[in-house]
Amino acid sequence: RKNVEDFTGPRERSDLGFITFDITADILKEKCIFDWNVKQLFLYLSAEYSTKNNALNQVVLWDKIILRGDNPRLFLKDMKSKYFFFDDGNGLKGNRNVTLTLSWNVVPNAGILPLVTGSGHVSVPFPDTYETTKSY
Amino acid sequence: QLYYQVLNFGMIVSSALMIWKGLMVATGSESPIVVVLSGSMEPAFHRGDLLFLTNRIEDPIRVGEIVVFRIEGREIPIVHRVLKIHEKQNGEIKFLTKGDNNAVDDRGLYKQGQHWLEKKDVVGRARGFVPYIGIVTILMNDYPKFKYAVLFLLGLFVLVHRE
Repeated sequence: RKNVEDFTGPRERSDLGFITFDITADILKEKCIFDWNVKQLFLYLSAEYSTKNNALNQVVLWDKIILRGDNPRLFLKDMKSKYFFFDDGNGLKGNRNVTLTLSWNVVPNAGILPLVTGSGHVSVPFPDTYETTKSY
Repeated sequence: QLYYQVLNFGMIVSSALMIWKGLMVATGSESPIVVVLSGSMEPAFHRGDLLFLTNRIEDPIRVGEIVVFRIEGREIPIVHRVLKIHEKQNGEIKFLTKGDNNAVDDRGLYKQGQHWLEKKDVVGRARGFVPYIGIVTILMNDYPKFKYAVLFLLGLFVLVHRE
C-alpha cells in the first residue's frame, strides 16, 4: 500500500491533513469471518499520532459497511479520506509518526460486539511545511 | 393465602430490582441496558434493538467504539460511533461521534457551542446486543394503552399463578 500525503491550511489555526491511500483486502482469506452469526462488518481506517497538545489522537479517515453477502474483496485505489483530518492544534506539521491502521467492528445477529484491529499498519510522515494552494 | 401472594409478588419485585442494581454495579453504568430509539446506526442496529453496556473507567475511549451518551440537558441517550479522539497525557479526553447511517458527524446534535463530548457525557459502551426485544418498551412508550394492557396482564398472571 502506498500513501501520498500533502496538506494545506491551517484553517482556524488547526492543521488539516490530506492523505490518499489504497486498500487491498481479502476478508475471507484466513477463515470465514462471516459465520452464521455475523450480520455485517464495520471497517474503518484510522490515523493515530501524538502531538504536543495531546498525548493520543485518533482520527477515523474512512469507513465502510460490509454486509453479509457483499463482495468480500476490496481493491480501493487513490481513495481520499471521507472525513476531514483536522488536528486539535498544529500537531500534524512535521509529525513523522502518524500511523494508519485498518480495524473492524463485527456486528452479530445477536451477541457480543467485538472490535478487531488489523495486524498491519503503515506509518505516514507529514512534511514540515504547509502547502499554500492545492485543489483537492 | 392473599398474604402469601403479596409476599410472593414482593419477592419477585425485589429480586428484579436486585438484579438490576447488581447489573449497574457490575457494568459501572447507570443504565446497563438501553433500547435503540432511532435508525441512525442502521444497518447494524434498528429501532427496538436492545444494547448491553459497560462503563468501566479503566476502559479507554477509542475510535470505532459504539458509545451511548447523553447531551447535557437532554434526557434521551444517543447510540453512535466514536469518530475522533484527542486525549491528553493526564487522561482527559474529548471526542466526536457520528451515527453510521448519518451523512455528517454529531456536532449538530451537541449543545450550542459544544464541539466535543467528554467522559462525563458517556452512559456506557455497547458490548453486545439482542435484536427486536426492546420494541416492547418503545410500544409501551408510544401507546400508553398498550402499557396498561401489559401491566394488567402481568397483574392477572401473578394473581392467577397459585402454587
